Amino acid sequence: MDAFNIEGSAKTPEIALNPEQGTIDIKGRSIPENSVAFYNPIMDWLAAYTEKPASQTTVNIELEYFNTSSSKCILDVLKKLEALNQKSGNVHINWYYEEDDEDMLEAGEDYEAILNLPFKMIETKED
Amino acid sequence: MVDLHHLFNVMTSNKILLSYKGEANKEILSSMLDILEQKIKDTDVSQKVQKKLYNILVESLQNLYHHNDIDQKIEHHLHSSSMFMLAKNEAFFKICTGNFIAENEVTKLEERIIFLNSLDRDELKAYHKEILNNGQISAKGGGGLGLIDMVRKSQNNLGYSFQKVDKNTYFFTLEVNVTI
Repeated sequence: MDAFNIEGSAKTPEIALNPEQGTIDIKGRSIPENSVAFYNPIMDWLAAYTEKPASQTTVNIELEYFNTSSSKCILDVLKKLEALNQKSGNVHINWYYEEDDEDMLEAGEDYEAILNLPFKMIETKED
Repeated sequence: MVDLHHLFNVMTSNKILLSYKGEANKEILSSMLDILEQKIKDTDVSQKVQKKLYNILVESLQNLYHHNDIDQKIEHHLHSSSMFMLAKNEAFFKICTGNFIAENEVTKLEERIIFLNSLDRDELKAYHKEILNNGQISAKGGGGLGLIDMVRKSQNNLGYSFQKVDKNTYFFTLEVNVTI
């Protein structure tokens, strides 16, 4: 299957999905009015990927902002990966948050509490 | 002659950074978010507060947008117009949004705000988790997460009022304070 990339914009994150390396990167801002439309192609790619995954899958989520409609979509993405992890046991989530951004850390912890997936919380320095 | 100087003075004395009345369409809201981001950067508050504020602004404005979108489908085209205001004093930023809602929505919305205001930090966390995990996502909004997010991030109760316009319509004002 092919890699899938979307460039970041003022309202949507940069997406880099690499099936060979097993990396899923979501980076930037996720504040579109219609999040479902944005995340649908990612969900489609994931559905195909989880059929034939790499030996290890690493998910890097490094968001500056995300709105509540994106929060649902991100949960859907992570649930797909939770199902994969239950099959293969080789999925890891790196959740990045900027130093002092307690809301972003807490958002990561909320996902960790909902999902049966290994999360690593990684603090980054402010620009 | 319009007394613009009076309006200028009102805005200055109320420390209004931005106010808007009109249709809440996607393009206008996007431009407003750009302006707001710049205005926030120009203030002397910490990065932490700036982020919190911007997050809540996104949620507030998108609430107006989604509501506006729904309203277009019902009769009151005049009522698709809405209000937004951001003000700042020594202690906090005040985000106000105003829009028209149908009379039959008032009770449900008021009960929801009263309920959210009654929850403490841990209860809000648990409730947010429940709605995030179990709530149905609509094609547009976040499935009822917006208000929860505003209370949680601001760590302040939501202010609100409903003013009767006619027998079918109320003007709903929502106020979120972000402590500096």
